[in-house]
Amino acid sequence: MAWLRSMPVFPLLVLMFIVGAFVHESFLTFENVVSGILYQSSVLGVLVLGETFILISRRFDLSIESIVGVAPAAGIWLMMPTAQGGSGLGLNVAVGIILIFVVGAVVGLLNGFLVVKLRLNTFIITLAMLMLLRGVTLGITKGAMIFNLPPAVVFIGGARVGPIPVAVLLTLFLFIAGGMFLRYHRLGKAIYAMGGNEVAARAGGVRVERLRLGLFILSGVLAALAGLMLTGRTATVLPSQGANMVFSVMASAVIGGVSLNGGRGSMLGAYLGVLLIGTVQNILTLSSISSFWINAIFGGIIVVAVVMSKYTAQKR
Amino acid sequence: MSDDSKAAVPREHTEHEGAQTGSPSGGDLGGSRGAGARLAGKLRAIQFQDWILLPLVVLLFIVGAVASPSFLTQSNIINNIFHNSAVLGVVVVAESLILISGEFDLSVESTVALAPMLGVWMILPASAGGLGLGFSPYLAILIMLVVGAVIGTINGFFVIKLRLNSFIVTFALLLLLRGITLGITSGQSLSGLPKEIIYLGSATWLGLPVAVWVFVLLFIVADVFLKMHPKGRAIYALGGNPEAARATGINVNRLGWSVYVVAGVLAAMGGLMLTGRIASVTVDQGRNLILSVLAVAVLGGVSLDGGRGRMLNVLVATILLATITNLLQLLQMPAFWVDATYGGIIVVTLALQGAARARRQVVKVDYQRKCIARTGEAPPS
Repeated sequence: MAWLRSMPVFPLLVLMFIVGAFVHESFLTFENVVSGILYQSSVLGVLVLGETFILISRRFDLSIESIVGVAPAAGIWLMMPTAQGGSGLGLNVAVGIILIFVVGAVVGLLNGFLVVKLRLNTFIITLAMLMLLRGVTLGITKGAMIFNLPPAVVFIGGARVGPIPVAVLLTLFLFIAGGMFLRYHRLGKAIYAMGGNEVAARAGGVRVERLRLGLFILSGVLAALAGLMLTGRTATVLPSQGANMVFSVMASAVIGGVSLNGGRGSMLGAYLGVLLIGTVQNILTLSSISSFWINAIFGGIIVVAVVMSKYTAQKR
Repeated sequence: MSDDSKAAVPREHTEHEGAQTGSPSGGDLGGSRGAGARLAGKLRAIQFQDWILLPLVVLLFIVGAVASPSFLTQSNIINNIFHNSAVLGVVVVAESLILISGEFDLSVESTVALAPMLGVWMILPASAGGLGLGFSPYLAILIMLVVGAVIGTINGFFVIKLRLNSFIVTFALLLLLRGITLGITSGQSLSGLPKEIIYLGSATWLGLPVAVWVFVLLFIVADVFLKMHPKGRAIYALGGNPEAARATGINVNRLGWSVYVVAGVLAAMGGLMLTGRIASVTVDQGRNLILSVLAVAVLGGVSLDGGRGRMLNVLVATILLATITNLLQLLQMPAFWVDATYGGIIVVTLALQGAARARRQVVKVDYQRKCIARTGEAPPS
C-alpha cells in the first residue's frame, strides 16, 4: 500500500481518530462517524471536489463559497411566496432546482471567460466574484433567512437512506467518479498535463482553454450542488451561507496533497483532507473545550497539518 | 523541482505573462519608423493602470458633486472618505509590502484584532474584563506593536524558514489569531479605554484627523522608501526575481522575514487606529478586511506575483474605492448592494486593465514578428 503511505494526510487522519476515541466515548460510533463527520463534511467535500479539478489545472476558484449562497438563494427566491421572503412568482419546484444548477454554471462560465479567455488575474477575479455574489445573495434574501422550503429542495441535503444520509452517499459517489475520471480518462490526464506543463500539453494536442473553461463551469455547478445540500441540511437558506468556506476548501486540498501550483494531487488525497478537517471539527465539538477556543485550536491544527504534509510528503 | 512550498498562490506562468513588464519598444527597426515609433513605445511602456485611477477618482468626484449636495462638503470628504479608509489604508500598505516581496499575508486582518485586544486586555481592570495589570497605556501601545512584530516573526518563520506556502499558512494563522482573540475575552468586547489608546483613532491635528495624517504619510514614506532606499529596491528585486536578488548579494531570507515583521507592526498599528475610532476592542474587528485589502492592492497595480507595484497608485486606489462606497451610501443604496457593486467595479476595472494588457501583448508579438522578418533576429528586449 505504498500509495497510501505516500499520502501524508492518511497517518494524520489515523492519529485524529485515535485522539477522538480518547476524547469522547461516542466518537467511534457508527452514528457519529456517519452523521457527525461524513454528513457534516459533505458540503465541504463537494466544494473540494470541484476545486481540486481546478487546482490541478493550475488555476483556482475563490468564488465557490458565494455560489453556495447565491445559487440556492436565487432558485428558492423564485419559488417561494412573498410572505416567506420569496418573489411570489411561484416557480415550479423542479424548474427551480434546475435553475439553481444553471446559476452555478453561469457563474462558472463567467469566471472561466474572464480568467481563461481574457486572461485576467484568477485570484482577483474570483475574489471579486466572491464579494459580488455575496452582495447579490444579501440583496435577494434581504438579509433574512428563508425557511419552510418545499420537500424536493430539502431532499438532497436532508433525506436519509436508512441510517445513512443521501448527502454522504452522493459525496462519496462523486469523489469516486471524479477520482476515476482524473486517473483514467483521457481528459483527466489532460488536466494533469496542463497543470504540470501547459506548453507541452498544448503541443500534445490538449485544448487547454476549452478544458479550463469547462472546469470552471463544473466547479460552479458543484458549488451550486453544495449550496443545495447545505440548504437541505439546515432546511433554510441563510443569507450568509457558505461564508468563509473557501479557506477550509483550500486547506483540505493542500493537506490532501493537491499542489497549489497545479499538476499534482489526487481525489483520494483531497477526500482524505476533507475527512481530516471534518474529523477535527467533530472532535472539537465533542470535546469539552470552550467554544470560544475552538477556532484557535482549529487554526493551530491546520498549521500543524500543513507543516506535516510538507515534511512527510515523499517526492514522486 | 520546486513544489508548492515557496510559491505564493499559483503564479500563472502563461506565455503571455511577459506583457506584464510593459516592453519599452520603439525605434529599433533601423530608424524606418523613427521618432513616432519611439513615442509610441514610450506610451506603451506606461502601464495602463497607472493612469486610469486618478482620472477615475476625479470623474467620481464630479459625479458625486452633481448627484448629491452633501458630497462635496469638507465633512463628507474628510470624515467619510478619508477617515473611513485610514485603517484600510494602513493595512493595505502592510499587505502591499508583502505582495511586492513575492508573498502573501492573510493574517493581517486578525492582527488588527488581536494586537489591540492583547494590549487593552492587559491593562483594563478585572471588573471591565481585563487582567488588571494596570501599567501605563503607552506601555500597552508598545505591547500592541510588539505583538504585531511577534506575529510577523511567526509568519516569517513559517514562510521564509520552513518554506511553507504563504497563502495556506497565513490563512491558518488568520484563523488561529482570530480564535485566540475570541478565546481571551470569551467573545466580549472591551471598552472604557484610556484616552492615550483612543488617541490615534479620534484626535485631530490642524483640522484633519490624526488617522488621516498617519495613513497618507505612511503611503508617502513607503513609496519613497521603496523607490529610493536600497532596501526598498531590494524588496522589488526579491519579489521579481529572488535568484537574481540573491546573486546581487541581497540576503533574501532576512529581507523577506523583515517584511513580514514590518507588516505585522503596521497591521497592529492599524488595529490600534480602528480601536481608537470605535473606542473599544471587539472580537470581530477587521473580519473580512483581507478581501478589501487585496482588492485595493491589485487595483492599485500591485502584482500578486511580486516585484511590482507603486504605493502612490495604491493610495489612489484606496481613495477610489472609499469614494465609490461613499457615493453609493449618499445615494442611499441598500448596504448589500454596495458589496455587490464593490465586487463589480473590481471586475470591470480589471477587465479594462486586462484588455489593455492583451492589446499590448498583441502589439508586442506583432513587433517581434516584424523585427524577425526584417533583420532575421529577435528584437533587443
